[in-house]
Amino acid sequence: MVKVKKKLSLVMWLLCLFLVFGYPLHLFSQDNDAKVVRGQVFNELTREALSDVAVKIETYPATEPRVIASTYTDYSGRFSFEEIRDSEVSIKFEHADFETFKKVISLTDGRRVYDIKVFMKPDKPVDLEVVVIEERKTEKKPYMSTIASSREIEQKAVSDVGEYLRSMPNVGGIRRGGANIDPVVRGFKFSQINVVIDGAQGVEGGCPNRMDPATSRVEAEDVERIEVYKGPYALRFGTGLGGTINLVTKKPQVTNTPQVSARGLRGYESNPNGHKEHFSVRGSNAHLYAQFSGSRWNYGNYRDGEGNFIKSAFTKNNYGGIIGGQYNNLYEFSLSMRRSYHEVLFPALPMDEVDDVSLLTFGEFNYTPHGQYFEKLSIKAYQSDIHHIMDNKNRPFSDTVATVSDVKALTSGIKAEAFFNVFSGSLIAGIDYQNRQKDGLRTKNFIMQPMAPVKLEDLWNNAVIDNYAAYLEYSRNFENYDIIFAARYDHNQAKSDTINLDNMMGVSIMKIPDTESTLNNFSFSGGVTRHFGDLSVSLAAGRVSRSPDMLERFIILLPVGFDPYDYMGNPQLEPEINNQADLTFRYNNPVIGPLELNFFYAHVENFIYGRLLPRTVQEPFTIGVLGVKEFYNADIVNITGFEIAHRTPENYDFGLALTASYAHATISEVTHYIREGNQVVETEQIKNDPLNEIPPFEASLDVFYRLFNNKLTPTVGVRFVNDQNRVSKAMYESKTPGYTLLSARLAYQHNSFVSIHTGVNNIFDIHYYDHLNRRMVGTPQKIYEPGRNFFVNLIFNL
Amino acid sequence: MKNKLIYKILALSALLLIILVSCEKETEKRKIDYEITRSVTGFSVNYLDKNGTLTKKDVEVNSAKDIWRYSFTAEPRSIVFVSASYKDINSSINVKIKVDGKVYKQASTRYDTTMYVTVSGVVPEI
Repeated sequence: MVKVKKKLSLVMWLLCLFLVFGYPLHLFSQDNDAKVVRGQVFNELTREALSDVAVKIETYPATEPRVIASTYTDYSGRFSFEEIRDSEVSIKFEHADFETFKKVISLTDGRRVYDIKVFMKPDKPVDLEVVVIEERKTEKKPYMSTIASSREIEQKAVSDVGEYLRSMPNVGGIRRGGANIDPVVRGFKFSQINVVIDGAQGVEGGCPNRMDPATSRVEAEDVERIEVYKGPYALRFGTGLGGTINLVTKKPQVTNTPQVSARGLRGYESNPNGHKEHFSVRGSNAHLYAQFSGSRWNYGNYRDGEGNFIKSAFTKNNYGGIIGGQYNNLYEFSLSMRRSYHEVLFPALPMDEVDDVSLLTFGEFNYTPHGQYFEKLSIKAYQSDIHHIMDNKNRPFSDTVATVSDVKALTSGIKAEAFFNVFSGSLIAGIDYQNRQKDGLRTKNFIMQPMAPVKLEDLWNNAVIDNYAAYLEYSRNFENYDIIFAARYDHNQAKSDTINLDNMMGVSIMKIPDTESTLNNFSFSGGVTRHFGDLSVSLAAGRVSRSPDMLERFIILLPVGFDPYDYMGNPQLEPEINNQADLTFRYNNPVIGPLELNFFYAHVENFIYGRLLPRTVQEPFTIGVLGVKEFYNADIVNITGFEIAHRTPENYDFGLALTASYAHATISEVTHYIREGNQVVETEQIKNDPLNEIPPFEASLDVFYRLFNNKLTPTVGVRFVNDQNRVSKAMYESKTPGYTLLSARLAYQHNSFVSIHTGVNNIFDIHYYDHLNRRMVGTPQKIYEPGRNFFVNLIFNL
Repeated sequence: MKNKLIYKILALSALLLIILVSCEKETEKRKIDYEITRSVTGFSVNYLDKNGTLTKKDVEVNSAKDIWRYSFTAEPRSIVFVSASYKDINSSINVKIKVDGKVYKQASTRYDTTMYVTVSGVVPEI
């Protein structure tokens, strides 16, 4: 093990040396006065951006055209070639649902950057060459956002969306089992992060211990792109205190002539021994489209780096469909549903997910007149229906008390947005209503007692949260700077039926008399970006209020925290408020590629935390816990940190992607409950205690080389994670050693029909765990991550 | 054109395979036996039956060699429970749960009429 670590340290040093000395030389060796050709591709019929269009740039004129470079459009239809030396080139656009065409562009008018906009008309072999040369127009917001396309996701071995999110800078994840990793953004977690599907749909999970975070409700293969907006600024989507994650699902489009296409994915991972299959069939004509898709995951227990099996097996079966249409280029509608069946083992929780059934429905209507002032009206309605059953039957203590919990959670909502072109900018005005309902029952079977008595306990008792919101977002681009402002008002009402618990004798042992609360929250954010040629500097600031969630308000005595205490909800909690500022430097040079550097500072008021109730007030309910904590609004939490991201230009054969991130979080004053054995014996006040579950410094580097006109791309990746020695004393958090991992991938695009992605993660079989991983039940040891894992994803398109 | 056709056939075959592979097989049930022996005169027994209902019976036996048995099939992870007591101070009892013919759990007492002998658990998965 020591030898392997030494080898990895050597690899890291060599990479550092390369970055300091070799890489700049490499960049200058590729430096020249070359032109940049970039642009965006749209569906001419729907005016929507077209992703996955194969774009090739070739020499012209030539009897035998030579491909200079090739790429694919990203989720926003964009492409870029950044080192073009020729004076005249031909660009070829190819997509399975559109006719292939070429456009010749002359690069001789002295400009360095050529922006083109392409509108592809489906199935019509003529009039396709609508090319518009446009001025540069930035669409970057003044705060950090990370966006991953489906193409990037399917190149990796990911068991769920949460696992992929962990590869993004300053996004971590809490592992409790083999799947359903719970995202942490810059140290913010749970309801401090706003997770939405298709820009609107919220999901209230069933499990109080977050076996099923909202990100687990959409499979990675159904995702068109993942958008992560860091900071509290994206108020259109809701009040994400620390960040917003928007999962945009795949959706077909109308086509001029009837078309049918299909897509299949077959994946295998060696550790765990896991198979996954996903398929979709879609059809469309000039007015209607439909898609049916299904997937199945069957993963076994994985092995850690020392060969120990972790009981983490899971199966997931999903199917869904979408129908939609368009009329007169003005009206568009779609209706979709997605049904899922999950069974997941969670060795770091007291229970496993044994039967989780969800039904997500979503409807959307768009009216797009493209008027001088009125651009678009969008209405979205949704419902997320979750039925979650979990039990402790795989735990040793089920021999004494076999417990089954049954939770139903329903989230319904509607959101309407109008888009205007006014005051020389863009204005979005929206209203948003969401209703969350939750009810849960725990059945305890005392099977070591002669009459096997059964006891029923409420986890939630018909809890309901209604949220009414209205918001505005205004943005405008000036010659050298861009501005954006947003404001949001949330009226939040919560109530629950009586919160009461009786003991075996029928005597009340817990009662919360007042379960109703109403909160009015005002949130604001704003930002400005100043452009200095290739460099831009952005400053964003915001003050955002978040209402407490179902758990914080209404949970009835369960060990749902990081520390060993039963937790009790508090319906009278005040909103948590984040005051945050982000300073971002972006340098986008065609030779060097994009480079981003961000610093952030968050000052959180009314931070929701737990405080111990005296045993005379409340006895714990769970065996082995130290007592009962009630959620309350604690003191101030300060979180600071930085992020760095760099990627070489897309047209370089040799390239790299580098990210580094760090977050530092402190709670200003907190009580430490000193324990002896299973008893709290004393308390002490701690000032500036590190906040628990904050990821340590992390850096990752991917080095790749594009071969055979992008057909074959080998990639080697290194991920370095530092020790985490800043740990919470109040939460009894333990330090975590750092680690370095090496991985390798190979992406092969045979043609537009077949592609293969294969690789190996954790090549040296390192035995490690992440700082955010939870402890295995019954042990002080955190759950280890998988050891070496070979994977392959085979993708068919037709 | 020919290539395109080949790819389509290949892809459709793969999709068909995926759909066929995706067909779930049913969970295999396991045979459960509750057995009580060594009682000289008789005993009272409480057990969870095949429907998960708690059932109570008074059983009379002729000798300690008599075996009281209740058998059924159950899904893995179902709760199994049997608890018995006797009134004859000269007696003893052995309570057993078998899964697929093999002893899963058992317990015994001798000359103790005050305690119930309880054997319970969760049907293990194969």
